[in-house]
Amino acid sequence: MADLDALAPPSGTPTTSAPPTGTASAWAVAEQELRDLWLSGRGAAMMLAYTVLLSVITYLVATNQELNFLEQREAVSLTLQLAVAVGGLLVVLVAADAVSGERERGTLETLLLTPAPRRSIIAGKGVAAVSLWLGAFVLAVPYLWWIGRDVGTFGVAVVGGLVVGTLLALALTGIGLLITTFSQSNGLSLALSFVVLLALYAPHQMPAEATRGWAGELVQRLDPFSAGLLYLERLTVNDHSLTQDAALLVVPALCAVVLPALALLAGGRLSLVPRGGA
Amino acid sequence: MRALARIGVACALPLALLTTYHAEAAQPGSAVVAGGLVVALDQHDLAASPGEKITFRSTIRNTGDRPVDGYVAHLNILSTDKSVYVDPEDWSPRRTQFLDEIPPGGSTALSWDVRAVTSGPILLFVSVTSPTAREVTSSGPLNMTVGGQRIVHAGAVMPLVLWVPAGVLVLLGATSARKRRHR
Amino acid sequence: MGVIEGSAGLTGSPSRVSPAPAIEAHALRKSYRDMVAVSSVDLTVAPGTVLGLLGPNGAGKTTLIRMLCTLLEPDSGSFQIAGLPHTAARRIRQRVGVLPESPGYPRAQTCREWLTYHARLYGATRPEALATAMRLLGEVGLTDRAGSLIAGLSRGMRQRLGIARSLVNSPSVVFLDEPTLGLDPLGQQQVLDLVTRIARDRGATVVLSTHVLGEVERVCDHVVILNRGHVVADGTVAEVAQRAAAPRRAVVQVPPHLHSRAVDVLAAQHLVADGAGRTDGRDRVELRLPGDEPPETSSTAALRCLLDAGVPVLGLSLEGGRLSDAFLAVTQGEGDG
Repeated sequence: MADLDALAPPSGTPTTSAPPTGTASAWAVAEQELRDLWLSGRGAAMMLAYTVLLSVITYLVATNQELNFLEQREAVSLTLQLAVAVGGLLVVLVAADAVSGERERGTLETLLLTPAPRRSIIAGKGVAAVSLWLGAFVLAVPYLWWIGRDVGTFGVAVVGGLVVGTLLALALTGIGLLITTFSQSNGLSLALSFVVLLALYAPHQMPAEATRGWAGELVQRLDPFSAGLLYLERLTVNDHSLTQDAALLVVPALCAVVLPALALLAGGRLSLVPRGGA
Repeated sequence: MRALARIGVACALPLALLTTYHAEAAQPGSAVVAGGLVVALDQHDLAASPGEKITFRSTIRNTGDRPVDGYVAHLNILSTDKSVYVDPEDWSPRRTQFLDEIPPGGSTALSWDVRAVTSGPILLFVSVTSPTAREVTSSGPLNMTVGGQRIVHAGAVMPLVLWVPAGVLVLLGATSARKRRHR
Repeated sequence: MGVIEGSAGLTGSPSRVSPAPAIEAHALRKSYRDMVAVSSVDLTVAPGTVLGLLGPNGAGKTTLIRMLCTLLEPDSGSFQIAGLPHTAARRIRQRVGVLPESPGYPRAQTCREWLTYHARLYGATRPEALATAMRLLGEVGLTDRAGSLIAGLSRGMRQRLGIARSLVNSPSVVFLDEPTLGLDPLGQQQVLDLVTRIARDRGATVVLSTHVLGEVERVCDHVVILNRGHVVADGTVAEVAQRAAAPRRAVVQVPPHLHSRAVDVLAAQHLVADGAGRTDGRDRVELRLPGDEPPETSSTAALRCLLDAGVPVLGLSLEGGRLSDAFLAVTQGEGDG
């Protein structure tokens, strides 16, 4: 026979209290998402693959016995670009899985049944996605130090890399969250996000001749990825100061603000079945 | 009398020219070009480290009796050691400067910025010419010795390339242990 | 229009019993493209009621529940939950608990972590949430699995965990959509016991959506039968059974030594109920009465057959229509919706 008192809610338990604030809900979601990402081993597995890649690149650089001054700076630039690119990839993949993945796993329903504001759910998941960039950056620092310590680029590389990488990570998080909110399936969300990332990265890989014309320059400056990587290149290889090419950071900064804001706005329409989505 | 004067001028002229030539030749880093331009550098030897920026000046003087215009000065960078590769673009992105008109007896000074990229014996000089000139004339050499280049050994990087992934692997192992504990 | 009014909860502090209906819905409608899932449903449920929501597959039960817990927006109509209008969605979600039909569970979280997380999403602080999680795990019998990953739980355990989650906010209305689906008899028993205790001890209103009619008969005060989005029957279990189907069963008492002959005689008239064989009871035979004539007529005919065969009849009782009969009667012929 059940203890009649056992099922009665104890004092202090919310029964008729107001729903939690958006901030409190966002922190609760962020904390849980961070735990799910890092304590489950998913985050660590991604970081392992990433550090192996960094180690291979660094080893190849080191086996080139005599590095001239410029080549060392270019190696620093390469390492930074790798950190930003891979970090961005991980961010967008986690963000793209945030809603559509939960929908497919069946866990979105119980989340939507809570009084947590929809936007807070989106914000919390965005925080978890950005954490992957921060992890990638922290792990890149020892490599940057080793390669760049003798050519005076370590300090600017760290500062510039953190600024550019964070701006791009925020922008990519916004893109991933936007796509996942409206995607009918998780596979579609991941594929679309990956294609968008490639499209943003492609202009940076254009041959030098293609970027010399007005069109090429315009594309490079309007594409946040290209603009950010170009800034890092000039910072580390051409020895520009942090503010010398600040104009290149305008588009990344705009994207870092606008895209997450759009994702939060769209998050207000978060539902069990995607409404009018891809 | 007139004959003696002619003989005197005939002897003096080559003497004057010879003297002038030797006088110019005695100044290191300069030469004479048809049209009377002389190029001189303000430094002749210096030492630098990889990554160090240096600046030197070249003075182009018009020793002729007519103004000169439309001339171009160019900085040349090379290594006298065939094992040292030099890409001038890496050392100085701005190696060509266009000269304004130089009046007779006048001169113009140009500033050149160079960053030492690789170590070894490096030689720099400035050349001057124009589309209508028949010759290219250069200054004397600026001998730059770049030393102290870092030699990277593969073995020195091993701790880094091994320990960082190993550290992450330990974290991954810890999460797996946690999962097993909670099963 | 179907209207149910139930009695107030039997226990619970008087302050928990709201004078307003726990659930009140008017003309709720929801369609998906060309298919109407719920069509103009009216519902009023008193606080403390255990309501059984029945219907064949596709009847609209899950859609109705999802609308009432604000997961889906109705195309038209309105409703109130615990006095809160449907426009106050967040406040309604603060007051209801739901066990969805096919809930997914995160594989990498422990039971304690998951319940704590959801308690925090309802506004509890971390210590409060942890205390609530441990208490609820105790209530559903999962204390020893508090630290286990959800992925390692059996289906029955996960259902109990899901019920615990539906109680983290001490809701005044609890929706349980197919809580015994896929469970063995013991698991079903445990879940139904939980349902009973939720209503009795917390004074909560429970809406139990199920296919298992026996569950409804056992634990529910009231029942609503949906078919193709419409309410086709409502009321107490007995009312629905009586209203929707005339008694179709009777029990005849005969001398034990003539039991086999009685069964033979009645079987020849196709009156013996399915499954009522020669070994069913020593002196009773269960009859299935045809639905195309009054039960009194067919039972009189059965008595005459027995008497003609020399089997004395010691007693006859007509049994009320069962809920299963009512269910089939109101949904028969319309097929699965």
